[in-house]
Amino acid sequence: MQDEQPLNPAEQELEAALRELRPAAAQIDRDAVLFKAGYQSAIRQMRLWQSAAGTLAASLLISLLLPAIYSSPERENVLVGTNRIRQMPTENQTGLIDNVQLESLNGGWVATIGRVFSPADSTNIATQRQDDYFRVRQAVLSRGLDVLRAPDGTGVPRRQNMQRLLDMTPDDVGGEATFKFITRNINGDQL
Amino acid sequence: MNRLDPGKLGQWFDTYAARLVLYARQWMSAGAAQDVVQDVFVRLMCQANEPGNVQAWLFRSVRNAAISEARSGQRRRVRENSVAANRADWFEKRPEDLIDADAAQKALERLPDLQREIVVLRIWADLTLQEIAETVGRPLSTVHDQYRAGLVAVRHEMESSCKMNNP
Repeated sequence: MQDEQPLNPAEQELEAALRELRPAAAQIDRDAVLFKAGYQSAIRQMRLWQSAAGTLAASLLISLLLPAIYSSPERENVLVGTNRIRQMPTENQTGLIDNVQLESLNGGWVATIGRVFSPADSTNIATQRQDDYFRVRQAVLSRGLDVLRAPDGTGVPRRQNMQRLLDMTPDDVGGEATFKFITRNINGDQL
Repeated sequence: MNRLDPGKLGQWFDTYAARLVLYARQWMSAGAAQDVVQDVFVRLMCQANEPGNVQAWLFRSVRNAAISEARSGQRRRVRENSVAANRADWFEKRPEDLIDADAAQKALERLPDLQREIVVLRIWADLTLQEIAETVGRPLSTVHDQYRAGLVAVRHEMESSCKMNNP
């Protein structure tokens, strides 16, 4: 290495003499520099944490908003189905009850997760059954018994069953027998 | 590289601050040099990791900052140099020194910029010629030649100064 190449004696002597000279002391406030350096370092670390916290907050916000965005079309389907039942149907519309999206109430992965973690499953099912009953009742009152299909799929209403249905009171709808009765008259394979 | 230890900053400051100011004065006045050195220490503390060679990092950073500052404030530098040239000495004046501090400063000031920079880095920054070559961005052979030429020039300058003072 050339760093090791020796200087001649005169150069070595001069180099040694120059080394004896001490640079003038810096007129810098040592404590101020150390404080400023520590402050800037702390600011930098604080910004690092702030950016990390901001990123996490944004991720959390997105994770909360995305399910709401994706689940909104399904809710819209449910509302559309309900509205179509409550509207006065035209004569050309047949099998309108088939359009009732009973499963849509339970559709979507958010609803699935909600059902899994919900402690009040039985309450939800009872409420849903009550809603279904009122839909069917509203449809029958609006269009008559013809909107109901027979279990064999022939479209011939069973007037006796329909009479029982119309005679029911809201207090009866929470029962299991009522629920089976309603679903059997709507579409047996939908629930 | 290791995580920067805040406790070392004070030690580095005590060891290198004066040398860094001397080095920065190759391009600017004493006041501006002190500002540059101060900023470099603050930047060192803001490094995520400790540089592998802190000494070389400090001198290289001071060099870059001083050159940048000198370029941005060329007119101010000329004015300040003329005012501050006689105000602040480069070296402490001590009776036990073999060389007169003022004579050494004058001899160094008359050196070409590259020679002066290399001599300062070699003698007072105590960098190796290889580290100096990396700092100034010149080949090692060039640095070596310039260093020897600088020493010869300083010796001649001081000899002539002595002859003038003691005819």
